[in-house]
Amino acid sequence: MNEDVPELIQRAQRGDKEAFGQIYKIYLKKIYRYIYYMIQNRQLAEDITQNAFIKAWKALPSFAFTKNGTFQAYLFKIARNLLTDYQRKKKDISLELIADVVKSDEDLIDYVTRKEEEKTVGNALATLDDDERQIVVLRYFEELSFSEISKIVGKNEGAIRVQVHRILIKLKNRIKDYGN
Amino acid sequence: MEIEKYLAKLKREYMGLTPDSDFVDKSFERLELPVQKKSPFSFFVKKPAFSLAFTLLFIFIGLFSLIQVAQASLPGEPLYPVKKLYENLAFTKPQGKKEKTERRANEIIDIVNKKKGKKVLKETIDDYKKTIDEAKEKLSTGKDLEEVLSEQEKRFEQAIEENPESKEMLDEAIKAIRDEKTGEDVKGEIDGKNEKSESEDKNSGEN
Repeated sequence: MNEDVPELIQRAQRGDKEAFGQIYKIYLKKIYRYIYYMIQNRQLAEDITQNAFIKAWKALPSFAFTKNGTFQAYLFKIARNLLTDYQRKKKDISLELIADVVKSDEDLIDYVTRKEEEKTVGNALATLDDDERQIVVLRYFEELSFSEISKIVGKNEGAIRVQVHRILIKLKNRIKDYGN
Repeated sequence: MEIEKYLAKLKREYMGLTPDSDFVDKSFERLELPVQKKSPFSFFVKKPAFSLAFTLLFIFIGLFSLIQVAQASLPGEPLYPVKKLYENLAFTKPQGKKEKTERRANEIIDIVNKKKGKKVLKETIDDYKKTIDEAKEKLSTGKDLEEVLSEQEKRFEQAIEENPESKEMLDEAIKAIRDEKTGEDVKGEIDGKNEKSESEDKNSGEN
């Protein structure tokens, strides 16, 4: 199905809504779960996902399709920008959501010790800042290449590699701290 | 703990985050897609190499036009420095120096005809004198330059007839030409004398 993507994009760039509908079906779940994972709110995730596709549609005429995967990076970049806007405007909501997971350091330690190691990683992940969490999601869950992530985040590939390495060390240290 | 291993397990949970089937099936129909606005520059955004080539071509044409327009400028005008810069780059060969004297002479006549003011005329005549000196230094034979200067002298005399009020200034330019010619004669005489004394020395040495 993905082999048809370049052709679908070209048609959509000429204003073909049906072609864009097919693109929408291909990427909808990916974009939705990325957004949902970051904000943990189904209704908001649906709204932001739709906004991301509307923005992608509007900007399509100026999109330069160079190689496979770039369109995916382009969509994730739009989604990421919308998430950043949302999180900037609704910082209180984000904090509330994080508080649901991690109420305090003391609670966290109690909570973590009761869970398995897998859960510990999940919670450690929740304590990372939004940018770092997004990079983990894109790299380890969506399995995007460093090159694609660099396009989404707007940093060079080398810097992303270094950042991923640092995030892993950070996660390991946090998990170690919970263990103590 | 191998963190990558547990991240892979978390990935499974992550992949299970699916939207409602209603959202998957019907959300596109509910999407209000506006009419796409095509930017006139979208072609350039899509083709960066073409965009770069176009920008370079645009700059080249712009510079070429600027230089062309600047060629008609006179001292004191905004584009005159561009003209001078072009001359410094283009007329580096000895023959180019002759062209520079021709250009300064044309400027003097234009300034007189357009009545640009004595200050500008004086500055241009000073520049003209410098250009003659430069040409004299660079040209191996003074004959070419002499012809050009004689031609210019005639044009200056004609300009005096048409604009008697500039006579004093133009006389200075004519004087510069005559000084140059006289200098050439004197130099010729000196050179002749030197050659003569050298051959006399040679002869006496042989004897």
